[in-house]
Amino acid sequence: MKPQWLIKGALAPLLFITLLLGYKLWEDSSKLEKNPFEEYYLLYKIHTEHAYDPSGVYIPSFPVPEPGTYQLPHIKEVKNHILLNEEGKPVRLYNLKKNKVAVVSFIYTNCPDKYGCNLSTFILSQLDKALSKSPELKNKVVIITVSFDPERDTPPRLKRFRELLNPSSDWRFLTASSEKDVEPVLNDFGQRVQKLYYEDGRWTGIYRHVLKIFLLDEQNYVRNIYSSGMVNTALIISDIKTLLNDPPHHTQE
Amino acid sequence: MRHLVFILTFLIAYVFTAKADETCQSPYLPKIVGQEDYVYVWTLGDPKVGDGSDKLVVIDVNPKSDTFGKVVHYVSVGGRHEAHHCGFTDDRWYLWCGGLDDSHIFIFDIGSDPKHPRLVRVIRDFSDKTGLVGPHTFYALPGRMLITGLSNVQDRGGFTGLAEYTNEGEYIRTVWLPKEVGNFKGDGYGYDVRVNANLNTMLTSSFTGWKLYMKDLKGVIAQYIPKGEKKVYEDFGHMFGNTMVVWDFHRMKPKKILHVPGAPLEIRWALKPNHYYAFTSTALTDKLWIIYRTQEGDWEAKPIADIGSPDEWNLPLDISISSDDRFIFVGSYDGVLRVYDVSDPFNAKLIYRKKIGTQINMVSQSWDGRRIYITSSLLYNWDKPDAEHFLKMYRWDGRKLTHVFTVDFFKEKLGRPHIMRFGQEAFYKGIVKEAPENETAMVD
Repeated sequence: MKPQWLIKGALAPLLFITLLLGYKLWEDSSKLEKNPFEEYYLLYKIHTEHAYDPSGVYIPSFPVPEPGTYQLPHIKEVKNHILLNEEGKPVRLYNLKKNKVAVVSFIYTNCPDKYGCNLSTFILSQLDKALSKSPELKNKVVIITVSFDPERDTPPRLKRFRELLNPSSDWRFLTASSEKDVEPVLNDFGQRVQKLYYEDGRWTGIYRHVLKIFLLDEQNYVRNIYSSGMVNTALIISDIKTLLNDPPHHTQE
Repeated sequence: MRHLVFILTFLIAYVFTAKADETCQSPYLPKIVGQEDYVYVWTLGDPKVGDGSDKLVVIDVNPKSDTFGKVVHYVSVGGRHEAHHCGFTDDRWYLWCGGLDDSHIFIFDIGSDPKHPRLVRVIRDFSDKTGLVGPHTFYALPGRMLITGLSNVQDRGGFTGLAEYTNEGEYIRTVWLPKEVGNFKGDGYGYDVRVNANLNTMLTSSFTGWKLYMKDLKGVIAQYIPKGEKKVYEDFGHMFGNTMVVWDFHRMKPKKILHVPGAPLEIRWALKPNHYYAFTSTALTDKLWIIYRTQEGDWEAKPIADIGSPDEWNLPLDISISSDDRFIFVGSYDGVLRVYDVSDPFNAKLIYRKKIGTQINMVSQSWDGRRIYITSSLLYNWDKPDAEHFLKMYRWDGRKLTHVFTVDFFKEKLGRPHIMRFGQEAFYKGIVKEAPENETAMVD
């Protein structure tokens, strides 16, 4: 065999691999540009990296209290609501919880507020990682994210959202068939959301909402509500441990 | 393009972020951006005018409105309950207003129609549930209200506590104020409460119990103020709170009792990130104080200015901080509004004073610091017999106040105005308005 054929024979697979890699890169960048969801996810990552920047108002600066050195009051009991899971099937809240402690947040995936839904999801993704590494907590806590924008946050979209977040613990994503269906859930938890409109009556695509993350005990009582300034993964874990060491009872303090 | 999207998204996020609003509110409230449309005034009934009942008065404060500077609505709650303070729930939808005498709490729906608030619930068993008397500060926490008491059901003295309620009006728990924390001795008295969420720190201040704040003190006050005597604290100081308490907010446990003699009243946290301090004023000792975190992480209180002449008793009652932490406005019983420059927070400088009326009490300012609202009444039995009762609005240009309008609450047959809260049509209707350029700059 002539040497030039040997060279050509080696170059051909290299060329093939190069073309394949090039196509893959092009395909990925093409997806990135065409799929607004991927674009959103990048923005989400950018925002959350800035969640603690000094230009904002949210700069936690305190040591997290030791679990069990305090009590969490019984704020109120939530009902056994029906929502849709990522497969579009109706599920009851209590069945998802299975008498576990639950951390529940309300978001919409188009939220542009870095101190709102993005911060909430960022904190829960940190919690997810921490729970998955904790044999003590992993099977005792469920994370639940509920969208209050059912029109856009369909089950397939939330499924994709879950895939992108790639959780390691028991993290569920729920939505509803309509705004009417999610309204009683929001009212029960006390999560007010409001559509914002331009002066000409067009919807901006944005909701006004105050960031809230709810901590539910095994008996479905709200035991803490976190908002901007007190949203902190270590603090939530301390509260979870406090609850798990707290004997169950239903009476208010 | 991506950069443009990011910048736009960031700006939208900036506008809709939930921060403090008109400078002295809970950090858990969504902020009203731009010009406020209404000022809600919780007003003490006076038998000499109108129906004599406490009422929530709505004043139109939008300069573009035909009814600018006028009363556009009021809701009478029936009877006199010693109307005093109000506070919004964390969604800013409901306004909780308290009566210091019978401890009734009146909950108004503001969000459904901000021009025409509706009384939707009255809590009459506050004392039975909590053991407290005199619900004073209504402070929004996530999903619930934190309420300070001034007194207790046992002896109606100054020992009191804090109560938590759900936003729906259900009682959660009572936390009593400490009389002792480690080596620190206190009095267990209460008045205001404010939280700095970034520091997980809550501060409470102290006043006096029902037996004293419902007593006719006109004579006592008249005895001291005209003579310009300052020995009032020596004579009466033991009957009032002389402490503030630093709390671990999350654990709701007291960490330290600070000696702040002479009834420390309103508490205002500095609003800038990394400003780890708050201010208060002491009514009986006429001083402006800073409460600050030391480099070691401890908390201390220090007087930073005498309010008025050191020889006179002026009775400072309310303080309001500008959103850039530069100015403190002090409203006093002597009718003078004083403005201090606290750019250097340990060295407050009096930069402006103006006589507003016979007596003044509450002071509120817009987030941009341009609009200042002042009311007159303190307590029914402590108001001066000849006091005018008004809400006055001024513009502040950084150097002086310019009068814009006055609402005469006696002429309008309303009563005696006390605390003020702001409302806005666009906010409640979910209509987006562009924030004024300078307001964005002030926030930053």
